[in-house]
Amino acid sequence: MDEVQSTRTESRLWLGAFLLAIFGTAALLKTGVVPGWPGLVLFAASFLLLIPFMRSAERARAACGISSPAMRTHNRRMIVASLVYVALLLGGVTIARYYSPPAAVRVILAIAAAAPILYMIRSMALLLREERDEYLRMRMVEQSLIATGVVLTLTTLYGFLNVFDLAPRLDAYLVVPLWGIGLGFARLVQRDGGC
Amino acid sequence: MENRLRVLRAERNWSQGDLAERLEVSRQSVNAIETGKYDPSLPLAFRIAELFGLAIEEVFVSPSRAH
Repeated sequence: MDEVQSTRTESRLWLGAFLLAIFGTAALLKTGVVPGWPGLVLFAASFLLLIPFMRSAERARAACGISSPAMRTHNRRMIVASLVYVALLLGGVTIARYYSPPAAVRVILAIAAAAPILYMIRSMALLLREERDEYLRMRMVEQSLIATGVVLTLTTLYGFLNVFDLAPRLDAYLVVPLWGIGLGFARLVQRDGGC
Repeated sequence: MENRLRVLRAERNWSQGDLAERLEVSRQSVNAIETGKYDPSLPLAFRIAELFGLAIEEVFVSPSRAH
Protein backbone atom coordinates (compact mmCIF):
# COMPACT_ATOMS: atom_id res chain seq x y z
CA MET A 1 0.00 0.00 0.00
CA ASP A 2 1.49 3.38 -0.96
CA GLU A 3 1.79 6.30 1.42
CA VAL A 4 -1.21 8.16 -0.01
CA GLN A 5 -3.48 5.15 0.42
CA SER A 6 -2.21 4.19 3.88
CA THR A 7 -2.51 7.74 5.28
CA ARG A 8 -6.01 8.07 3.80
CA THR A 9 -7.04 4.77 5.37
CA GLU A 10 -5.63 5.89 8.72
CA SER A 11 -7.50 9.19 8.46
CA ARG A 12 -10.79 7.43 7.65
CA LEU A 13 -10.33 5.06 10.60
CA TRP A 14 -9.85 8.01 12.96
CA LEU A 15 -12.89 9.74 11.48
CA GLY A 16 -14.90 6.54 12.01
CA ALA A 17 -13.66 6.27 15.61
CA PHE A 18 -14.54 9.94 16.21
CA LEU A 19 -18.08 9.64 14.82
CA LEU A 20 -18.64 6.33 16.62
CA ALA A 21 -17.51 7.84 19.92
CA ILE A 22 -19.72 10.94 19.54
CA PHE A 23 -22.88 9.12 18.51
CA GLY A 24 -22.15 6.21 20.87
CA THR A 25 -21.69 8.38 23.94
CA ALA A 26 -24.69 10.54 22.91
CA ALA A 27 -26.79 7.35 22.72
CA LEU A 28 -25.51 6.19 26.12
CA LEU A 29 -26.47 9.58 27.56
CA LYS A 30 -29.89 9.79 25.91
CA THR A 31 -30.94 6.22 26.73
CA GLY A 32 -29.87 6.68 30.34
CA VAL A 33 -27.25 3.89 30.27
CA VAL A 34 -24.68 6.44 31.45
CA PRO A 35 -26.84 9.31 32.76
CA GLY A 36 -26.01 12.76 34.19
CA TRP A 37 -22.51 14.11 34.69
CA PRO A 38 -20.58 10.91 33.82
CA GLY A 39 -22.49 10.69 30.52
CA LEU A 40 -21.82 14.36 29.72
CA VAL A 41 -18.12 14.02 30.54
CA LEU A 42 -17.87 10.89 28.37
CA PHE A 43 -19.61 12.71 25.50
CA ALA A 44 -17.34 15.74 25.85
CA ALA A 45 -14.22 13.55 26.11
CA SER A 46 -15.08 11.79 22.85
CA PHE A 47 -14.37 15.09 21.06
CA LEU A 48 -10.69 14.65 22.00
CA LEU A 49 -10.58 12.12 19.16
CA LEU A 50 -10.71 15.16 16.87
CA ILE A 51 -7.00 15.65 17.58
CA PRO A 52 -5.71 12.33 16.16
CA PHE A 53 -8.28 12.59 13.33
CA MET A 54 -7.12 16.08 12.29
CA ARG A 55 -3.47 15.03 12.57
CA SER A 56 -4.02 11.94 10.42
CA ALA A 57 -5.95 14.06 7.89
CA GLU A 58 -2.99 16.43 7.82
CA ARG A 59 -0.62 13.50 7.11
CA ALA A 60 -2.94 12.36 4.31
CA ARG A 61 -2.92 15.86 2.79
CA ALA A 62 0.87 16.00 3.05
CA ALA A 63 1.15 12.62 1.28
CA CYS A 64 -1.07 14.02 -1.49
CA GLY A 65 1.06 17.16 -1.78
CA ILE A 66 -1.74 19.51 -0.75
CA SER A 67 -0.50 20.50 2.68
CA SER A 68 0.63 24.02 3.56
CA PRO A 69 1.65 25.96 6.69
CA ALA A 70 -1.55 28.05 6.47
CA MET A 71 -3.67 24.89 6.39
CA ARG A 72 -1.84 23.44 9.40
CA THR A 73 -2.43 26.69 11.34
CA HIS A 74 -6.10 26.58 10.33
CA ASN A 75 -6.42 22.98 11.53
CA ARG A 76 -4.95 23.88 14.91
CA ARG A 77 -7.43 26.76 15.23
CA MET A 78 -10.31 24.45 14.31
CA ILE A 79 -9.30 21.81 16.89
CA VAL A 80 -9.03 24.42 19.67
CA ALA A 81 -12.34 26.06 18.65
CA SER A 82 -14.11 22.66 18.52
CA LEU A 83 -12.95 21.65 22.00
CA VAL A 84 -13.79 25.08 23.47
CA TYR A 85 -17.20 24.90 21.75
CA VAL A 86 -18.03 21.52 23.30
CA ALA A 87 -16.97 22.73 26.75
CA LEU A 88 -18.92 26.02 26.52
CA LEU A 89 -22.00 24.43 24.97
CA LEU A 90 -22.27 21.61 27.50
CA GLY A 91 -21.45 23.98 30.37
CA GLY A 92 -24.00 26.55 29.15
CA VAL A 93 -26.77 24.00 28.58
CA THR A 94 -26.15 22.48 32.02
CA ILE A 95 -26.27 25.89 33.74
CA ALA A 96 -29.42 26.90 31.83
CA ARG A 97 -31.17 23.61 32.62
CA TYR A 98 -30.29 23.15 36.28
CA TYR A 99 -30.05 26.75 37.56
CA SER A 100 -32.67 28.57 35.43
CA PRO A 101 -30.60 31.79 35.24
CA PRO A 102 -32.17 35.17 34.28
CA ALA A 103 -32.45 36.21 30.61
CA ALA A 104 -29.29 38.36 30.73
CA VAL A 105 -27.19 35.36 31.84
CA ARG A 106 -28.79 33.18 29.15
CA VAL A 107 -27.86 35.79 26.53
CA ILE A 108 -24.24 35.57 27.71
CA LEU A 109 -24.37 31.74 27.65
CA ALA A 110 -25.79 31.79 24.09
CA ILE A 111 -23.12 34.22 22.86
CA ALA A 112 -20.41 32.16 24.62
CA ALA A 113 -21.62 28.96 22.89
CA ALA A 114 -21.72 30.72 19.50
CA ALA A 115 -18.32 32.42 19.89
CA PRO A 116 -16.15 29.37 18.98
CA ILE A 117 -18.29 28.79 15.87
CA LEU A 118 -17.82 32.44 14.86
CA TYR A 119 -14.10 31.93 15.42
CA MET A 120 -14.20 28.93 13.03
CA ILE A 121 -15.84 31.11 10.36
CA ARG A 122 -13.16 33.74 10.99
CA SER A 123 -10.49 31.02 10.67
CA MET A 124 -11.85 30.06 7.23
CA ALA A 125 -11.55 33.70 6.14
CA LEU A 126 -8.01 33.90 7.58
CA LEU A 127 -7.07 30.69 5.76
CA LEU A 128 -7.96 32.27 2.41
CA ARG A 129 -5.89 35.31 3.31
CA GLU A 130 -2.90 33.42 4.74
CA GLU A 131 -2.62 30.66 2.12
CA ARG A 132 0.39 31.59 -0.03
CA ASP A 133 -0.04 28.73 -2.52
CA GLU A 134 -2.25 30.25 -5.22
CA TYR A 135 -3.46 26.89 -6.56
CA LEU A 136 -4.50 25.65 -3.10
CA ARG A 137 -6.18 29.02 -2.48
CA MET A 138 -8.13 28.73 -5.72
CA ARG A 139 -9.25 25.22 -4.73
CA MET A 140 -10.43 26.54 -1.35
CA VAL A 141 -12.41 29.34 -2.98
CA GLU A 142 -14.06 26.78 -5.29
CA GLN A 143 -14.80 24.51 -2.33
CA SER A 144 -16.33 27.43 -0.41
CA LEU A 145 -18.55 28.36 -3.37
CA ILE A 146 -19.71 24.74 -3.81
CA ALA A 147 -20.39 24.46 -0.05
CA THR A 148 -22.36 27.73 -0.15
CA GLY A 149 -24.34 26.43 -3.12
CA VAL A 150 -25.12 23.22 -1.21
CA VAL A 151 -26.32 25.24 1.81
CA LEU A 152 -28.45 27.62 -0.28
CA THR A 153 -30.02 24.76 -2.23
CA LEU A 154 -30.81 22.56 0.77
CA THR A 155 -32.04 25.38 3.04
CA THR A 156 -34.27 26.78 0.25
CA LEU A 157 -35.79 23.35 -0.43
CA TYR A 158 -36.17 22.60 3.28
CA GLY A 159 -37.68 26.04 3.95
CA PHE A 160 -40.45 25.47 1.42
CA LEU A 161 -41.06 21.93 2.72
CA ASN A 162 -41.53 23.61 6.09
CA VAL A 163 -43.91 26.24 4.63
CA PHE A 164 -46.12 23.45 3.26
CA ASP A 165 -46.04 21.61 6.64
CA LEU A 166 -43.98 18.73 5.25
CA ALA A 167 -40.95 19.19 7.50
CA PRO A 168 -40.45 20.51 11.05
CA ARG A 169 -38.62 23.75 11.80
CA LEU A 170 -34.88 23.31 12.36
CA ASP A 171 -32.46 25.35 14.44
CA ALA A 172 -30.73 28.03 12.35
CA TYR A 173 -27.26 27.23 13.74
CA LEU A 174 -27.34 23.91 11.85
CA VAL A 175 -26.40 25.91 8.76
CA VAL A 176 -22.73 25.89 9.87
CA PRO A 177 -22.29 22.09 10.08
CA LEU A 178 -24.31 21.86 6.84
CA TRP A 179 -21.77 24.18 5.21
CA GLY A 180 -19.02 21.91 6.56
CA ILE A 181 -20.71 18.90 4.94
CA GLY A 182 -20.89 20.93 1.72
CA LEU A 183 -17.14 21.52 2.01
CA GLY A 184 -16.56 17.78 2.32
CA PHE A 185 -18.77 17.20 -0.74
CA ALA A 186 -16.78 19.83 -2.67
CA ARG A 187 -13.49 18.09 -1.81
CA LEU A 188 -14.89 14.83 -3.14
CA VAL A 189 -16.02 16.54 -6.35
CA GLN A 190 -12.70 18.26 -7.08
CA ARG A 191 -10.43 15.39 -6.03
CA ASP A 192 -6.98 15.69 -7.68
CA GLY A 193 -5.10 12.55 -8.67
CA GLY A 194 -6.96 10.44 -6.14
CA CYS A 195 -6.38 12.97 -3.34
CA MET B 1 -2.23 26.49 -21.20
CA GLU B 2 0.40 24.15 -22.66
CA ASN B 3 3.86 24.23 -21.11
CA ARG B 4 7.23 22.45 -21.13
CA LEU B 5 7.44 22.04 -17.37
CA ARG B 6 7.55 18.25 -17.37
CA VAL B 7 10.36 18.18 -19.97
CA LEU B 8 12.38 20.88 -18.23
CA ARG B 9 11.98 19.09 -14.92
CA ALA B 10 12.98 15.74 -16.41
CA GLU B 11 16.10 17.29 -17.96
CA ARG B 12 17.23 18.21 -14.46
CA ASN B 13 16.12 14.92 -12.88
CA TRP B 14 13.81 16.79 -10.55
CA SER B 15 10.72 15.18 -9.11
CA GLN B 16 7.51 17.20 -8.81
CA GLY B 17 8.31 17.47 -5.10
CA ASP B 18 11.79 18.87 -5.86
CA LEU B 19 10.34 21.51 -8.16
CA ALA B 20 7.58 22.33 -5.68
CA GLU B 21 10.18 22.85 -2.96
CA ARG B 22 12.24 25.17 -5.16
CA LEU B 23 9.16 27.20 -6.10
CA GLU B 24 7.80 27.13 -2.53
CA VAL B 25 4.45 25.77 -3.66
CA SER B 26 2.64 22.48 -3.03
CA ARG B 27 3.41 19.37 -5.09
CA GLN B 28 -0.21 19.34 -6.24
CA SER B 29 0.28 22.85 -7.67
CA VAL B 30 3.19 21.65 -9.80
CA ASN B 31 1.13 18.67 -10.93
CA ALA B 32 -1.86 20.89 -11.81
CA ILE B 33 0.31 23.30 -13.82
CA GLU B 34 2.15 20.48 -15.63
CA THR B 35 -1.05 18.76 -16.65
CA GLY B 36 -2.61 22.04 -17.81
CA LYS B 37 -5.37 21.90 -15.19
CA TYR B 38 -4.26 25.19 -13.72
CA ASP B 39 -2.73 28.26 -15.33
CA PRO B 40 -0.33 29.96 -12.91
CA SER B 41 -0.52 33.67 -12.18
CA LEU B 42 1.96 35.91 -13.97
CA PRO B 43 4.25 36.26 -10.89
CA LEU B 44 4.39 32.44 -10.46
CA ALA B 45 4.94 31.93 -14.20
CA PHE B 46 7.89 34.35 -14.03
CA ARG B 47 9.26 32.52 -10.97
CA ILE B 48 9.08 29.21 -12.87
CA ALA B 49 10.79 30.68 -15.93
CA GLU B 50 13.51 32.32 -13.84
CA LEU B 51 14.14 29.06 -11.98
CA PHE B 52 14.91 27.36 -15.30
CA GLY B 53 16.85 30.38 -16.56
CA LEU B 54 14.47 30.78 -19.51
CA ALA B 55 12.12 33.42 -20.88
CA ILE B 56 8.50 32.92 -19.94
CA GLU B 57 7.48 32.07 -23.52
CA GLU B 58 10.11 29.32 -23.57
CA VAL B 59 8.27 27.57 -20.74
CA PHE B 60 4.64 28.41 -21.51
CA VAL B 61 3.01 28.23 -24.91
CA SER B 62 0.76 31.14 -25.83
CA PRO B 63 -2.84 29.82 -26.16
CA SER B 64 -3.17 31.62 -29.50
CA ARG B 65 -0.15 29.71 -30.85
CA ALA B 66 -0.95 26.31 -29.37
CA HIS B 67 -2.03 23.52 -31.72
